[in-house]
Amino acid sequence: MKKVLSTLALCAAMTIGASAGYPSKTIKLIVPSKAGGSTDTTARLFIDTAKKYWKGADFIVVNKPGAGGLIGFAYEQRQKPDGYTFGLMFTPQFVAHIVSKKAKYTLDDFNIIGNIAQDPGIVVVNASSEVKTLDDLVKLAKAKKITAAVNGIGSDDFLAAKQFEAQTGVSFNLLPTKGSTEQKTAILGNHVEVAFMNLSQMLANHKAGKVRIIAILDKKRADVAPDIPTSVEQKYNVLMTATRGMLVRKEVKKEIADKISDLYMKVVKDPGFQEKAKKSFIFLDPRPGAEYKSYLEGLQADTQKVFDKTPW
Amino acid sequence: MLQRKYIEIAIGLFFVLLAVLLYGSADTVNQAVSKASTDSTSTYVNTLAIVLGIAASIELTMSILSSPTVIEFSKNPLKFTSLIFLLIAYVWGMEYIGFVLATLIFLPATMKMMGYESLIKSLIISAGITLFVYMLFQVGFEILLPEPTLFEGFLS
Amino acid sequence: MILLDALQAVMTVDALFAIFVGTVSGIIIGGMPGLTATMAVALLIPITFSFTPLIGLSIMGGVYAGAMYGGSIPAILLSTPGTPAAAATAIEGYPLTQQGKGGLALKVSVVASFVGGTFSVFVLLAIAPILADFALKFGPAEYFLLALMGLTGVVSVATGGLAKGIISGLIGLIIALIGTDPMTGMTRYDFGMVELYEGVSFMPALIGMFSITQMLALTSEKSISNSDVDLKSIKRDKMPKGIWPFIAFGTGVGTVVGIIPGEGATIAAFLSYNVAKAKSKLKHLFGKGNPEGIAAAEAGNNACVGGSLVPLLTLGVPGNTVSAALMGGLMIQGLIPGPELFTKHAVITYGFILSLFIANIVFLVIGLFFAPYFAKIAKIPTSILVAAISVFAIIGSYSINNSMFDVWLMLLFAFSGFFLDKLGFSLSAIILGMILGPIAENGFTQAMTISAGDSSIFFASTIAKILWAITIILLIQPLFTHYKDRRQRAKAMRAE
Repeated sequence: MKKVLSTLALCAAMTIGASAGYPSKTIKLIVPSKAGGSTDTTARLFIDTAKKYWKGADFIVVNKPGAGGLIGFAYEQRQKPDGYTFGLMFTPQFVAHIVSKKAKYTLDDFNIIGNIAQDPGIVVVNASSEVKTLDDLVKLAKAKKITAAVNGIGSDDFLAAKQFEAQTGVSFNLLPTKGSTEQKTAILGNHVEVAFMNLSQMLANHKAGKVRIIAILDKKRADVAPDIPTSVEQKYNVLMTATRGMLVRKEVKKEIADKISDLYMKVVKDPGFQEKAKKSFIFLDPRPGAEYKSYLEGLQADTQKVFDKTPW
Repeated sequence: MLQRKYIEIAIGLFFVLLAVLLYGSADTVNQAVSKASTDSTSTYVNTLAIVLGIAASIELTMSILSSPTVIEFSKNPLKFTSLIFLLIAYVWGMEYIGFVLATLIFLPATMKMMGYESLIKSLIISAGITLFVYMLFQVGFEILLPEPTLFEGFLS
Repeated sequence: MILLDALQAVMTVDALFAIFVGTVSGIIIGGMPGLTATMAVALLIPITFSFTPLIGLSIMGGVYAGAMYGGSIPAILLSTPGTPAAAATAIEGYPLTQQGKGGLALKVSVVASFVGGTFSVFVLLAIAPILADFALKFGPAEYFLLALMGLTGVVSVATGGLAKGIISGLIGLIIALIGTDPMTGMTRYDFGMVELYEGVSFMPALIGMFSITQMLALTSEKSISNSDVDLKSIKRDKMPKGIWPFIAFGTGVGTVVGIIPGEGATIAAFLSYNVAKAKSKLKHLFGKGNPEGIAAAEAGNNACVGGSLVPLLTLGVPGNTVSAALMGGLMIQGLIPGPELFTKHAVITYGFILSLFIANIVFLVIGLFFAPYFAKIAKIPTSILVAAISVFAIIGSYSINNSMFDVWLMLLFAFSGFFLDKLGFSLSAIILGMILGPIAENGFTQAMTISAGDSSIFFASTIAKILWAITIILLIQPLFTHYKDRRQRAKAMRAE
C-alpha cells in the first residue's frame, strides 16, 4: 500500500513539476456566474478559440454562480495552484467584495493574466422621457424625487449612481433590482425614471428606439454606438466600467503562468474570437497582466472611498 | 413508537419561538438605500412572523388538546434507517473518494440492503448506472463530478 | 408570404433533423434532475455558431420545448421532478403511478403539454408585439400581487388542516428570506455560510422533499405500484372525460404568466393547478391522483415556452434563464432581439417559431408512443429503484451549482421533509412558499420604494385590481371547503 502511494505521489509530483509537458490533463475554467450569461459565453468562446492554439488540450467550464461572484472568486482561490485551473473574474464586484470585507481573498492572492472584455456603464431612460442629457436629469432630480434602478447594492451600477449623486448633489430614490432584466423592464415599462446599467444590456433597445441612453460613463465614445455622448463630454466626471478578466493563483509556477499569458494574448487577438465576441455584445478590451493589475488596484482604492462614505 | 401529541407540541413550540425570533429581525437602518426600502423589508418580515405566530399558536393549542396517538414513521424501520445512513455515508464519502468509486460502493450496498439477491447482477447494474451518469453528466454536459481528494494529502 | 418562406426553410431535411435531435435531447435533459435546458443552450452556443442560424436555433428551441415536457416524466413516475416546473405535476402524477395508472398520467401530461406548448407558440406567432406591451405593464406592485395570488395555493394544496398548511407555506417563505437582502445587499439569516449568500437553492430542496422522501417511504414497499401495470390496457386508456377545460385553463394561465418577464414555468404550473382545483368537481381527488391537476399544470408550464419568447424576441427582455441563454444563441448569429427580428430577419425568426410547433409534435409522438413502456417503471423492484434514484437525486442536486453543499442541503430537506410530512405538514406548500417568497418580497419592497412608502400603489393599476379580484375568488373557494370539511367532521363526531 505504501509503495503504491509513493509511486502515485511520484507520478503526481512529476506532472506538477514538469512544465515541459504542460498541459497534460483537463484544464478547468471557473466561471463565477450561471451558465448562459454573458460571462459564461465569454468563457465558452475563449475555450473554443484556445483549443485552436493548444492542440489536444482539453478544457471544461465549471460554473460557480452566486453572491455577486463571491462564491466563484473564493473557489478560484481554493484551487490547486498547478496551472490546471483558470478563473474568470469581473469588476467592480471582484474588488468590492474585498473592500466590504466579505471576501477572504486579496488581489495579491492571484496572478492576474489579463483583462478580456469591458462593458461601460450607462445612464438610460425611456424613449418617451423628456430627459435628453445629464443636465436634464440633474434638473429633474432637483425638481422632484426620482427613482433610479440599480442592479443591487455594491454593484457597478450602484457605485456609478453614488458617484453621480456625490458630484451633482442630487439624491435619487435608489431601487435595487435583482439582475438587469428587472432594470430593463422597469425602464421599458416606465416604472422608474432612470437606470444605471451597462452598455451591452441596453444597446439593442437603444438602437431599436425603445430607450434612450443619455450618457456612457467613459472617457471615449463606444465604437458600437458612436451617437451616444460620454459623461465627460457632458462635463460630468462620472466614470464606471465593468471589466471581465482572467486569473490564476499566485503560486502557479512562472513558466506555466507565462504559457497561460501567451495563450490569453493569442486568443484575444484571434479574428474568429473577435468576431464572435462582437456579435455577442462582448466588447473586447485586452489588457495584459501588469496593466490590468494596476487598474484593479486603482479601482479598489476608489471603491474603498465610496464604501467609507456609505457602507453597504 | 412515538407519541404524536408530544412531537406536535414540541414542533408547535419551535414555530412559536421562530416567530418570536423573526419578529423585528429585519428592522435595520441603512444609509445606502431609502427608508421606504428598509421599512418595507421589515414590514414584510414582521408580517410573516405575526402570521406564523398566530398559526403556530393555534396549532400548539390544538395539539395540547388532542388525544394521544402513536405515530409510525416507517413500516420497516431497519431499512428506513439503513437508507438514511447509506445516503449520508455516500455523500460524505464522495468528497474523499470521488463520484465513481463512491457510487460503485453505494449502489450495490443499497441494493443488498433493500434485499436484492444476486450480487453479480447488482454489480453489473451498478457499473451500468455509474457509467451512464458519468457519460451523461461529465462527458456529455461537461459537468465536473466530484473527484477523489483523499490521495492529494500524500502528494503535495 | 414570409410565413411561406419560413415554412420552406423549416421543411428541409437538415432543419427537421435538427429539431428532432434538439427535442429528443431536451426530453432527456428535462427528465434528468440537475440537467437544465439553460446548460444545454449554453453548451450549444459556441457549437451552433458554425451552423446556419435557423438550424442552430431549431436545436435550441427543440431543447427548450422538449425539456419542459421531459420534466414531467420522472415527476409522474418517481415523484422526482426533472425540472422545478414539474413539481405541481408530481403532486397528482405520482399517486396515479402508485395506483397503477402511471400510463394514463403520462398520456394526459403529454397531450396537455402539447396543447399548451402549441397554443402559446401560436400566440407568439400571431400577436407578439401587442403582448409585449402588456408584459411591460407589470411593475413591482403587480409582481407582488401575482405572488400573493400564487400563495392562495397554499390553502388549496394543504392537506393536513388549515393551520398546518399556512405554517408550511410560511416555512417556505421564511426559507426564501435566507441569503442576501435584495434591498440593502446585506446578507441575512446565513449562519455565516458563504454558500447561503445567494439563498437556499431551489432544486436541491425540491429533490430532497419530493424525491428522497419518497425513496425513504419506498423502503417498506416491494415496488411503487401494487396493482398490475399491463401494457395493453394502458394503450387502450382513453383521455379522461372532461379533461379539456383543464388543459384550456392551464394553457391560458401559462401563456399569460410566461409573457411576464421574471415569472416562470414553475409559477405558471402551480397557478394553473390552483385554478384547476378551484374549478374542479372532483376536489376531493386532488392530492390523491387527479388527472385534472396534471392537465392544468403541464399545459401551464409548457405554455410558458411560447410566452417567454414574446418579450425576448420583441424587446430583448429574457423572461427566464433559458431565454437569457437563448438570447446569447440569437446574438452570436447576428440576430439582435427587437423589431428587426420581425422585418430584416423575418424568415429566420418565423422559421424558429415554426420549428417550435414541430418540436411540440415530436414530443407528442414520442411521449404517446413510450408512455406505456415508461409506466413499467412502477413495477421495477424497489431494491434497484431506490438505489438508482438516490444516485440521480444526489448528482442532480450537485450539478445545478457544482456544489457539494447543495447535496447536503438536499439531504437535510429530505430528512426534515419526511418528518414534517408524517406530522401532516404540506411539502407542496413549503415548495410553493419557496418559489413565491423572493417574488413577493422583491415586488413588495420595490413597489414601496418606488412609491416612497405609499401602499396605494398596490391598488392603482387596472391589472392590480383584476389580480386582487382573482386572488379573493381563489381564496374564498378553498376556505369554504375547509370550513365545510370541519363541519362535516364535527357532525360525524357528534353522531358517534
